[in-house]
Formats: sequence, C-alpha cells, structure tokens
Amino acid sequence: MEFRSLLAAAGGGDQAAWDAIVNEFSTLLWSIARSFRLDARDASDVVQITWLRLVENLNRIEEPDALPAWLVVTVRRECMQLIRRANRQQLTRHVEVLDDMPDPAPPVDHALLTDERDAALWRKVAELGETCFRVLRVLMATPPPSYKDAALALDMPVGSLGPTRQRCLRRLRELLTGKEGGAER
Amino acid sequence: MNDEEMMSTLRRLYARLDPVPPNVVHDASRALETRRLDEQLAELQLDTAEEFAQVRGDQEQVRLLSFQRGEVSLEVQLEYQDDLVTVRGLVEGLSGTAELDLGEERRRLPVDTDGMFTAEVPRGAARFRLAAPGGVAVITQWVLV
Repeated sequence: MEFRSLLAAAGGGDQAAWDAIVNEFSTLLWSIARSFRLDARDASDVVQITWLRLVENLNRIEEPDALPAWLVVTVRRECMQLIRRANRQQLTRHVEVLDDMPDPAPPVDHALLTDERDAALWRKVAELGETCFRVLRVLMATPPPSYKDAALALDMPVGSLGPTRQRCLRRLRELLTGKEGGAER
Repeated sequence: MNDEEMMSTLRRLYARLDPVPPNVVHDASRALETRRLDEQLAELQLDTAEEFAQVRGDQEQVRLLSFQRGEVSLEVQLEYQDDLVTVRGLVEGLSGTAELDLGEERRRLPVDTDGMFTAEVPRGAARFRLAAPGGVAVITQWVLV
C-alpha cells in the first residue's frame, strides 16, 4: 500500500483515501486493543482516539512509510494509559475485571461456537498468560501484521517475536491436550 | 497442526468471534470530518494521570490536564463518577468562546468572566476549541477523558 499518496489525499479531505487507510488497519488496531483484554467499550475508545489523532496529524507525518508503526505505537500507548488511569481511578466497571484476572474469554454467542474444537481453542487462548495472550492476539489480526509492526505493538524486540510465538503455541497445545508443562509467563 | 496451521485456525476463529464492531469502523471513517486546517493546535503539556501514576498509590479521582499554544493556555480538571466526567476548565490568554468536541456531538461551554467553564460529559474522546471573536482560534489535541 502506498501510504504517501493516501495520506496526502486524506489530508486534502479525500474520504476514499481515508477509508482505504481505515480498512487496512482497523483489525490490527482492534487486535492490539483486545490483546490488552480491554472490553469492547474501552477497545472502541482507544481505536477511535488513535484515528482522531491521525486526522490531527495528517499533515504532520513526515515519514509516510512509518504510518503502520505510528498507528501501532499510538494505540499501544493509549491502551496502556487507559489501563493505568483505570487502575488509579478504580472505576467500578474495571474493578470487576481486575478482581478475576486473568480475564476469562470474552462472552460470545454460543451459537457461534458449535464446533467443539473451536470452543476449546477459544477457552484455552483466554487462559494463556499475559505475554502469550498478547502475542497471539496481535498476530491473529487480518491481514497478519508484519513482525516489525507486531513487535512495536508488543513493545518487544523483533528478534524475540518468532521464538515467543513458537513457545506460546506450544503452551496453547499443552493446554488443549491437558499436558500442563512448566511455568509460563 | 504445525504452527502456521494453528495460527490460521486462530485467525479464522477470532475473525469470526471477535471482529471489529461495525460502529468502530464507521466512527473511524467519520473521524476525517474532524479535520481542522485553520486552527492552531494546543498540545497537551501535562496529564496528572500519567505524571503521578507510578508514584502515587492513592485513589485520586481528580485528573488535571494542561494545554498550551503560544499565549493561550487551558487548564482542565476532570472528576470521575462512574461513567460521567465533570469537566472544569480555566482559559487564560484569550477571551471568547469555548466548545467541547465529543466527536459526534459539539457543546458550547459558557465561559464566565474569570475564564472558567464547567460541563458534564460521558467518557470518551474529547477536545476543546477556544476562539476569540473575529480572531485567533485554538483547538486542543484529542484526549480520552
């Protein structure tokens, strides 16, 4: 995708160019927000403020090729700030979540989970520790993010992403087969 | 299943069970309408939710934001009560009108002679617009309140 011309067009008010950017990155931003186990309302807020920030900065982004990195870092920061604020403010709706961390799998319409194997996967992914849940949830975005962008979203060195993914998938298999291995982060 | 097959399975599952809600894409698309070319951007200088988060373990409910653009400054105090936020603002360096932009909704904020205003808003994205009659207009960057 050619970000330079899209950003320039969007900066001039071209809705189609803007929508092309939105469509390209929406699931990645959503996946990052959900990787922090934010509920739908909070995830929507952090994704929306990321887009508003981009509009605000349309004519200020000096390196258009860095657009994915800019979006990914912005949404990650907003997620972390929201979690920090929520922890401080002890808002009732967050306290519920904090009380039973790790958060169980988000509620889902059971009709969508008729396949037993899918249901097991859905449950076991949610049982993963923080690092593994975040890594896999970010990499599950459609289209899959580049390792470079995923590493930025996860704030980890790009070189450790592959090995971490491998370890987390192994851990997920252990959970699925009931063979609990050693401690996992 | 090898790693790639496992990832594909997960990707399909989450695309089906945890897709981007349509309203999120809709709001993102409409975000372009918030573009302002003729106004000066006042950047966030201070957010106490960030500054003190690490060192203060109290359950402080009041958050302070400070924006600045040239001579114009805006201090905002946010008080949280469940899903509602009480906003108290103090404008300096400009006398005129204040507006609160909540994305879908804009509110005019009556500013008193001391440059103060108050409002009660739902949590979410917000920014302030300050304008002197026939003169300079300053808009703050977006923040999640």
